[in-house]
Amino acid sequence: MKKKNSSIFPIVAGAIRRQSTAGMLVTPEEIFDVLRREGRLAPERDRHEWDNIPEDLIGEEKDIKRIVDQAGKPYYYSARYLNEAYALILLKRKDNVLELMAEIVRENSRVYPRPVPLNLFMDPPFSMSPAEIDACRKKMAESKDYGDIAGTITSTGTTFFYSTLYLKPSHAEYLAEWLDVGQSENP
Amino acid sequence: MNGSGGWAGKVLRVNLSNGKISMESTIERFKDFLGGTGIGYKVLWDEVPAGTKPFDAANKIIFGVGPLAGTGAPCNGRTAITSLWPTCWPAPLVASGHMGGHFAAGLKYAGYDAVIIEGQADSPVWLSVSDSEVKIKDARHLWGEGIRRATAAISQEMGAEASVAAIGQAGENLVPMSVIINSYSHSAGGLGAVMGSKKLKAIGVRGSRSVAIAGPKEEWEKAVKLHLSLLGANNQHVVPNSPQPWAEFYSPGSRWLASRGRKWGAASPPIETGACDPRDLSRIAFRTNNAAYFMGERAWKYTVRGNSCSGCPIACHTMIKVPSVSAKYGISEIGQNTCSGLSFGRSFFRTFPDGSQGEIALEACMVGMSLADDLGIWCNYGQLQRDFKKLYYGGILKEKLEKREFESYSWKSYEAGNPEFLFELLPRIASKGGELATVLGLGSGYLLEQWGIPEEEWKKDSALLYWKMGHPKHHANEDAGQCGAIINTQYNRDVQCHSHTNFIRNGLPLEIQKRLARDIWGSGEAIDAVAAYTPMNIYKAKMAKWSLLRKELHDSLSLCNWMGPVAASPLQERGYRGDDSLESLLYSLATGDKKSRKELDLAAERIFLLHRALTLRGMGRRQIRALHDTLPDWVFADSSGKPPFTPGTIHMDREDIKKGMDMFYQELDWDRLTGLPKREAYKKVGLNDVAAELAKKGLLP
Repeated sequence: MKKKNSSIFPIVAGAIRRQSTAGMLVTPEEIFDVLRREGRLAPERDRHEWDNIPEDLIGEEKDIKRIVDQAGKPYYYSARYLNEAYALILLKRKDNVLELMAEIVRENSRVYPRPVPLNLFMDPPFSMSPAEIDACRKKMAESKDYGDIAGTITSTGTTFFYSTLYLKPSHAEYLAEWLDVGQSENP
Repeated sequence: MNGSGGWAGKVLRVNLSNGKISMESTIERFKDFLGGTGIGYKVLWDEVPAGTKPFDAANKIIFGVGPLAGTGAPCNGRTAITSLWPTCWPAPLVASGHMGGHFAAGLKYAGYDAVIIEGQADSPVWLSVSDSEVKIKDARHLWGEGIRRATAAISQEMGAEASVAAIGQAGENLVPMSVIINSYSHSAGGLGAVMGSKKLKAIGVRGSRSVAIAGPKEEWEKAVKLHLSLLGANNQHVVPNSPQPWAEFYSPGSRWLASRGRKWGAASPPIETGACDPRDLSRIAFRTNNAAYFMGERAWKYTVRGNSCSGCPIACHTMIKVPSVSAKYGISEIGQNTCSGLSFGRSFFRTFPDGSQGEIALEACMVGMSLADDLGIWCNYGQLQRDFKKLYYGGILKEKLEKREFESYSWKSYEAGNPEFLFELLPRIASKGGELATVLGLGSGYLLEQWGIPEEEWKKDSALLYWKMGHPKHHANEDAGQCGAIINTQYNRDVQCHSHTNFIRNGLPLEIQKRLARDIWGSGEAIDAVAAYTPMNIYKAKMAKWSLLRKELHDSLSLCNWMGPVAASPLQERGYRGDDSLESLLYSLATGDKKSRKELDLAAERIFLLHRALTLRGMGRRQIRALHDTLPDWVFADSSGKPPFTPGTIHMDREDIKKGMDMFYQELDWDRLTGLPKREAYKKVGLNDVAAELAKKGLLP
């Protein structure tokens, strides 16, 4: 049986996909705005009438996914254009940037393994300001919850962070220098 | 063999002593050696006696391409140039240079798989190859000119579609550290002076034919599309440099630099690269920006675009436009290159007023490219510059040079990081202007010999990256531990093998790399985390063998070893798996000669073994393991005293490496004690005649 409002699925899916290509999550409010701009909402219509649309869409369009922040608010993206890993970063960026930073440092130290240059956090999807990065550094230094997060500075002055849970200091130092200087000097 | 495609079918032979031009069948004589270096080694084995020197008339220089050159196979624009190598110390031996650009396709379209140049002309000549019309032409008006003017002049005569491979003044003056360059900036290191010794200024190729593909069109197109779909960025890095919406992983060391907001700033109008989802095959050329990778973020605003070799979507040859250098230095504002070519000028200096990624450093890159690519000077993978810095800052220049010559250089300008200094140094190298320039132009081995510096001194210094026989390491233990170290023992110049480093640096997490390694080499133990090496095992030996064989395969097929093998891919849906049979798929379809991956690897082993045989015959010594397959002392040291197998060091262990070499020889069926390939090894690949000749000389175990 065709779902109610299925005629507007392509509009909503298209909007989610476009935003996903641009590296952005979509909120229910943004979906509502899209529908209004497309003239699919009469001004007197209640917003709640359209609340089920994103969830219905997930069942219909396999690439449309939902993730939920700490407050339970849903966000939508297309897995065809936006990787789950990236989506989770975007989500956590909203929730707790300090925790996100620590998680990225730990994950890089564990999985690749390698330290992370601090300037990584200035670019999307983190888009942190230098002041934000500095504030996070200070908090990490002060809290034993982040006692495993350590730093190293390369010969060019670039700061890298790593987790001592997964990388020994000497290894992290070597890898930081290798990533920052060594690889391009050994083309 | 049932081949009916791929090869052009003819090898051109040009004798510059008597002007004779002839042709022979590629298939009849060279089919088992595929093309490229395979043809080069075969010609040298059959026709150039041991003891011949690089500049002798009896030496030959072979420009070889493979059956995939000029086809639609991605990354096929490679020419291998094989000869006796002038900088190989203490005595010249076989080696190959490799160049991208458009020469390979031009040669195939003209109807040839290789050009064999023999003899010596009495006066400067250039070779015009235009389909079946082959002429030796007078080059006296070009002799003394730089590569750019020679290329322009020949292109005017042959037409814009011609591809010209030329030497500059360095090659003309028999400077061993010289290059051959085609298409203005695509260089093959090390053999410019061999061409110069033959008084051959250039080869221009132009063709109107096409390359036949034996297999069904649909299958060929499917194979090409498969290859394209599995491509990463330059050096087959398969994850982006920073987090991208489409990507699960990323690596700050990756050459996949494309990102939203990043622009080719000097394009008109500027072009945004975008995030370059790997499933969008129309955006492959936007992934890589080697100027930004090597020169720093500021290079984005100077980037015009990426340029490609024929048939390559990667476009790693970045073109930059720096308007300020035109008025400041009197050079073109346009420069283009890949890797060390970009950094040629900058690498001479220890410091710059605004840092190694500043504006002045970038200007030094531009000046270096402009001079080196016109004069035709080779850097020996950066060894020229490292030697120069060591000699200067170590006080050796002041000690060795006559006072007058030493003071003729503007050392204060050099120390201050002024790119103008390169105008003093580089033209002198090209013209052997003075003792310093002459000695630098000899290459490291002969430089050390000339100045009475023991080679051990260079072999102890880890900053010099010197390996052996006058050449540096090229992706050794810093990249792939024992595998990289073993690989670097095998050639007579820097090894130019990227099979292993492409894999190690692909950017994927270690667990995924180990899974892929298990599929190809039998176990994830083949690889370690960088600088966290574990003791040697048989899988590392298998990886070393695979790396070398695939390098020879690529150099013989005309596939770019900087872009393969395709062991990994950027596709999450494939588990990041590449396709280790891609070469055999493309080869079989193109030629009609169906070979499995194993069968094609056997052909590669034949070619690699012939290189070994040539080396042995040239050396005339049985103890090739002890005398040739060596590692420098710095590999077995760590300045901070960390022992081997400690995270944070690339320090190798001598006993462990001995074990590694034993395992490597075992994989190839070479004698463990001497390093001599056994008769069975030659028999396995059909080189019984080679074994017989070596046996007569006492060079079998």
